[in-house]
Formats: sequence, structure tokens, C-alpha cells
Amino acid sequence: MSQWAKKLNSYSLEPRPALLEESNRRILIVEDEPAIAEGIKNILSPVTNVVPLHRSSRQKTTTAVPIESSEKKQDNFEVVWARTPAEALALVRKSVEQNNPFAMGFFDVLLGSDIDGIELVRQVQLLDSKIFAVFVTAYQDRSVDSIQQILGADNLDRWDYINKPFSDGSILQKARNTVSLWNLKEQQKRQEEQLAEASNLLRQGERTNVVAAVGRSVAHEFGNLLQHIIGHAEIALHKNDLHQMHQSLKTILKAGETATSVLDKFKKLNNPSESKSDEKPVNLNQCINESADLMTYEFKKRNIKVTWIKNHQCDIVGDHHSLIQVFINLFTNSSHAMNSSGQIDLSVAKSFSEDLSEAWAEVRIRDHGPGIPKDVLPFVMNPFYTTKGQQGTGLGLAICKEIIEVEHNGEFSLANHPVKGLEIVIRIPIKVETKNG
Amino acid sequence: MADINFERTVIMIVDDDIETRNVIKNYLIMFGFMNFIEAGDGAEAYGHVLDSIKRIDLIISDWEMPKTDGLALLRAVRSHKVRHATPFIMVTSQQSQERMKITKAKLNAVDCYIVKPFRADVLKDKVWEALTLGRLKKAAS
Repeated sequence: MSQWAKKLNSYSLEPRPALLEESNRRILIVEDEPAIAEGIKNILSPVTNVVPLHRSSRQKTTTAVPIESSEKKQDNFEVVWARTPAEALALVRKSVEQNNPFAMGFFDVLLGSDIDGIELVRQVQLLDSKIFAVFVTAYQDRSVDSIQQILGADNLDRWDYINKPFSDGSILQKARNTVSLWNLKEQQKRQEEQLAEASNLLRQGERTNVVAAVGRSVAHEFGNLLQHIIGHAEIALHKNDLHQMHQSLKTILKAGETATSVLDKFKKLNNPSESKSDEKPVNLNQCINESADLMTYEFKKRNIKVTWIKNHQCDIVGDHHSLIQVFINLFTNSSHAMNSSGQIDLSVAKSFSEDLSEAWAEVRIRDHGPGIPKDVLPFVMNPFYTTKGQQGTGLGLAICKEIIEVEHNGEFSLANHPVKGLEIVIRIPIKVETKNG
Repeated sequence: MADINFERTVIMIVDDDIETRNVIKNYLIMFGFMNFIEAGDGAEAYGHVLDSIKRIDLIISDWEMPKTDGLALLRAVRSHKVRHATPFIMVTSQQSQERMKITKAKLNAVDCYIVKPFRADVLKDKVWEALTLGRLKKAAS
């Protein structure tokens, strides 16, 4: 099993059991009335005394750490009280800096300060976009819509409210729900990141497959070339004849040159990091030719003829290696489709929109194989769909499509040719030149 | 080993790569052989096999060839009424695992194996080995 496959297998997409212990239980209370703050605090986290932070100066607020409850309840909330908006903002800023964020906050709406609770939450969420806010208000002074207007549509699901007088149960339950919502969102985000990394690994794996396929072909070619070199050196030595030596040296030099050019192409394919950062002008025709060259052995083995139908020179902006990967993938598919012998028709042509403002390079790759059965055709570009059993990863076409559509803003489609075989059509935008191409 | 009749022995060389065929032929000339049949793929080679007038004492064939490959040729030779015992040396440039599996499976059918690139000495050993084996087989049958 390859390195990436091992790494991939180590991923478990199940929720991790450790998550509960790691979960964020931190709650901020912003309330100018100490009695109310105390009340909420006692509901959420009994026993511990609330230390009003406002007694310290603003600078010192950073040193005020929330007190850990000595008698842990199952909720295990860590409650921190801020009396003023300034204190609240300082606490949130510090929590973000220390990577110890609050899951939620209870915000009094009327804080007796220059800004109210809603404006405070707007500012808090600028510092920490993930924090959930629950407004605590005795006055129905704001409609839900007006709060949303202030906080913005993006934070629609990041706030809630509770009316005074509240019951103990309603505060506790609100805290429980909101805190678990925060943790669920984090978990979801983490899993999405894992998925993205896994998919990245799969892409690397697919590239490795392409390199391996080409590698076999290169190994064969090198076997022959080395045979020419070794053979002719031995023959020349043995015969000790000047003319023979001359002939042998010529053959050896030619074999060396061929080997160098094969190796150059292979190196380019094998070293994706070289091109990772840059999108450069690429000659599409050259990409296709290089890919076909790398497939020479495969084509020869299967007795496949490659024919150019149209070969308009097309320069696009793109990633040389990714494109080679696409074409090798497609050529491999085509040659597998035509077992004993066959033909691949290639065409590269420019096409324009009616007003000539847009232009595309259109590549058509058609094989003369059996095509794809109608009932299978809709699925072939789905990731993990494969008709090759254990041989295929089911990612080849999905990745080709992604490379063309995402990396090159192009279009990738395939359909059975009306006469015979499968035809793949790739369209990649090109810069419009002043002259008509 | 010494009693190889170089004047009579005919060796068929099958490879799609002309230059490789050339090298093998020149090696064999170095060893003293004189008579060769050359073929560019398995099908062409089998045409010679079917020609009952032709003498073929040894087949040296590449594995990877377009159209009909070396394995297909080997199978065809082994199922031929008269020539099934013809010594056969398989040449390959691939050493991947799948190839090794097939190699093992077919070990009883192929007389010798040789991996490209090879030196003259290696080929010489294999040729003598194959011809000796062929003579033993003939004597046994």
C-alpha cells in the first residue's frame, strides 16, 4: 500500500469520542447589574463566586482569569463576567489571541453604556466570528429583524434572545443548547478540513498512478536503449574494427540522446511542485504531443494509431503538469477501451463566441472503442465510480474534470460518438487576439 | 556443450525494436552462430513456426511487443504439434510484480529468462542452457 493510501486509511470520519472532553464550555456574561450576573452565574455554574472584573483597570482585565469551579457539575461551564462593553471586548480579544475562545455569551441589551448589547455583539463578532450571542432583555425594544439588520445576514444563525424575567431552566437550557451548537459547528468544520485533506491525498495518489503507468513505459524504453548502448559497446570491443566501432558509437550516442529526452519528459511529469504556484502560458498542442509521446509504448503495445484531425496552435494560461496528467489519463482510458488495436483521433481548434469577445481552445479526443453503455454514461465522471474493478480508483475522470473546470475555468464533457467510440470534449478559454485565429 | 553445430543451428530472434534485434544477432555472431530468422512481432514469428520446411533450433523473443506479444508466441509454440519442445528464451525489460507472477506461472513453459539490458556473457549462458535443455527434452520424448 502506498504512503498516501496508508495516510488516507488512518482518517476516521466518525465523530471522535475525545471531542466531549476537548469541547469548549466557556460562557461570557455581559451584564451591568452584579445581582443579575450573579444569578445567571449561579444557575450555570453553582458554588463558585463571581469575581467582578470591573474592579481592575482595563489593562489588568487581561490578568483576570475565570475561576474554575471546584465542584464540577456535569455541564462543566466556565463562566466569565464582564460588566462593561469595554471589558467584554478585551476579554474576547484575549480569548481569540490565546486560542481559548468563548462558545457563547449572554448579553444584556441595555448596558447603561455608550453602546448597547446589540452593537457590542456586532463588535464582538468582528473579533470572534464564531461566538454565539444570546440577548437578555426586559424590554421588547428591538424587533428580531432590526437586530438582524445590525448584526448582518451572515451572523443570522449566531444569535438568539431570552426575555427577563427568565426561569433558571430557560437560562440553563439555552446555555446547553448554544454551547453544544458551537461545538457541533467546530466538529463539522474539522471534519470538512479532514475531508479536504483526504481528497487532496487522493488526488496525489491518482497522480502517482499516472506516474507509475508512464514509469512502466519508460522502464521498457530504457531497457531497450540501455541494450543498444551496452550491446554496441561490447560488439565494438569484440570486433576491433574501425568501421564497426564508428557505427556502434553513433548508435550509442543516439540511444543516449533518446534516453535523455524521455527522461526530461518523465521528470516534468514527476515533479508537480515545480509548477504548483504558477499558471503560465501553455501551448495546448505541445501538452497533448508530450502526453502522447509518454504513451508511445502503451500505444505501440496495443497497436493504437494516433491521428491529428485538426491541429490549430492554441496557447492558453494553465498548468502544464495538470494538463499532461489529464491527457495521459484520457489516453490511458482510450487505450484500455480498445484492447487489441484501434485509433485515437485528436483535434485542437479555436472557437469564438458570436461577437468574437470570447474564444476557446477546443480539444476533442475520440477513440474507436466500444464507447460507454448508456446506462453507465451518467455516472462515469462521479468520484469513485470505476468499471476497472480493483485496477481503478474511480477518480481519473473526476480529477480530469476538476482540473479542467476548476483549475482552467473550462468545460469537460464526454459522449459516445455517433459513429463509433467515445469522444471527450474539453473547452478552455483563451485570450482573444486582435486578429481572427 | 561443445557439440553445437554452428553451421546448422538456426536461431529465431523476435523483437519489435530493430536495434535490439541487431544487438542480439551480433552477440550470437560473436558466439559463432551463423543462421538467423528475424521477426518484428509474435504473429510474424509464428508464421515462420508454421512453415514446416524451416529449421528453428531456438527462439529468443521479447515479451512486450505490439500485436502478438512474446507470451502469446510462447503459448502458440508450446501447443504446436511438432515444434512444442523448441527451446525458448524470453526477454523482458519489466520486472514489476505482476510480471513476476506471470513469470512464475509460466516457468515450466519457458526455458530461460533474460532481463534487458544484458551483457553478452549472460545471453551466451542462457543460449547454451536452452540448447542443452532442448536436446535433453528431445532425447526424453
